[in-house]
Amino acid sequence: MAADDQQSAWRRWYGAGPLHLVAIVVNLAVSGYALSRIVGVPRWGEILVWLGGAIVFHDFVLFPILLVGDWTLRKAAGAMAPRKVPWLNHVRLPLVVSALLLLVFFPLVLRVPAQAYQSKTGLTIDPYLWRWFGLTVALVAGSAALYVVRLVRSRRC
Amino acid sequence: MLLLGLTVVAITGLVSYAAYNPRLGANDLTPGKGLLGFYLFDWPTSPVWLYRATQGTHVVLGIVLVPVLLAKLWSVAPKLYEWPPVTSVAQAFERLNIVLIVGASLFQFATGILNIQYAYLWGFSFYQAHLYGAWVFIGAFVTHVAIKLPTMVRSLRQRSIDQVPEPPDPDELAPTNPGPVSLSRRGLLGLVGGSSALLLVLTVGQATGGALRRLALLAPRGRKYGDGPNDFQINTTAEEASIGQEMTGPSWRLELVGASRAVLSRAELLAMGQHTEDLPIACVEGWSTQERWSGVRLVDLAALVGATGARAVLVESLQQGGPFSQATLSGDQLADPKSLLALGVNGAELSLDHGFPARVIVPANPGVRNTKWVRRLTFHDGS
Repeated sequence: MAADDQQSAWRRWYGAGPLHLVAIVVNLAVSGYALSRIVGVPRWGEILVWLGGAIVFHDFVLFPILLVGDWTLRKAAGAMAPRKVPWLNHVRLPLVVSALLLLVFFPLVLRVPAQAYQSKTGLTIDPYLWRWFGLTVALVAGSAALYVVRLVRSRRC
Repeated sequence: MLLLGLTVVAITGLVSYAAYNPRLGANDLTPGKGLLGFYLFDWPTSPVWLYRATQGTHVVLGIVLVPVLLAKLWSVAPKLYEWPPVTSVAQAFERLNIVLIVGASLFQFATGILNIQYAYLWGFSFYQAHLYGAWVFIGAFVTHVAIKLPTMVRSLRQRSIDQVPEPPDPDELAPTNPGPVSLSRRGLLGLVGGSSALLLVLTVGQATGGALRRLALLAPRGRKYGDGPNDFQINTTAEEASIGQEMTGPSWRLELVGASRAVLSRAELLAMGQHTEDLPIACVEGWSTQERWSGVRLVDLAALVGATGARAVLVESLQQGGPFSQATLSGDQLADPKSLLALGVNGAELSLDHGFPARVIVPANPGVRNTKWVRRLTFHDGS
């Protein structure tokens, strides 16, 4: 009985079982030790800025851009007369995929490391912009073609 | 899926650290690592495709997981704006844990993906930042998984995937008042899966080579140089390494240091027993390409200076400065009969960009450690 009381008092104060705390302590030990290794290497302040900046960029730049873009498109879709076959996803999905490709490969596409790329590989960085552009055109065209197919089918039925 | 994928990426990443044989010479690029640089074995030379497989997996899988990671982060984003932010000590710890996971995973993905595109937008050492960042992530990730494991098992058992609305869950992730559905759950999974599949198609060819390389349209190393014997991926041009014709011309000599010393011209090397091996060059950046190398066995060179059985060899390049102007190979790497000082490739002389007059090629060795433009081999006891 006394043990049960003790346990529930602990739970009330801490909010979870003792194993939870063990897991957290292990986490803080490993992650904290790794962070302590960063301190002192050349330009370590910059590493910490990048670690924090990654969260800020994701939470307060990337995510809001996605939300606002999506909200705008949805509003546009809502303002128009409803169609038999909704077009919203046929517009936003290829754009999302194209944006994802740009997010991952923006240095090559936007030719950020033009000099470093050439000295590492012996090739120019030029083709990537056109390749990304071509892929985007293909995605949009593919999605539009699919929309037309769905439209024709819906009229037949 | 993310759980499995990230585990594989983390392990292959740590394996890559071990592949540099950090125990030897100046190989370790993270000298202040403390306990984090542990590894359990000297890097083997067999199978020859080992590093090609582990590092190709590390990089390609990392890229393929980007949509999955973003979908995961965005599915839990409403928790970010929860109020009040903290309700108990345990929960405060959990939120700190989440900050570490999100920060470290985004950091690892960003630095890794920028690094393979040569977009060094930072001033710090990539090797140090990526190794220490990995451990910040691993510490937080393992704990997160341990804490959430009961929830995961429960929801995998109970929830049918098509149920709308979702039943309430203890973490209140299921929307309580969902807006009109504009994309079905299946549609979202299709978007994430399809994006991952597209990224796979657009990058995997740089690791596998062959016909898939043509599809690797956005991979930094998916490109073709031409059809000649030396037309394969170059890692750092001779011009970039400041290697000129005058250094590699007829006056070039290879110096061997062991129990005795020897100095050899290229003609003398060509007069020795020549061997041909099919071996991959596999870069830490996740690309690789298998070529047919020919040259002199490293063990034969060791024997010339009475260093048979040496436990390490320091390879020095004509290139001055930079972490890859030298490398120390282990005794096992030296002793492998497939380990060559290559003089030619695919039946032709090496090109200057590929390391003429002579370069090292060792099975399963990370690409940059197959030193190009070799000027000296020093065999020693590994201390």
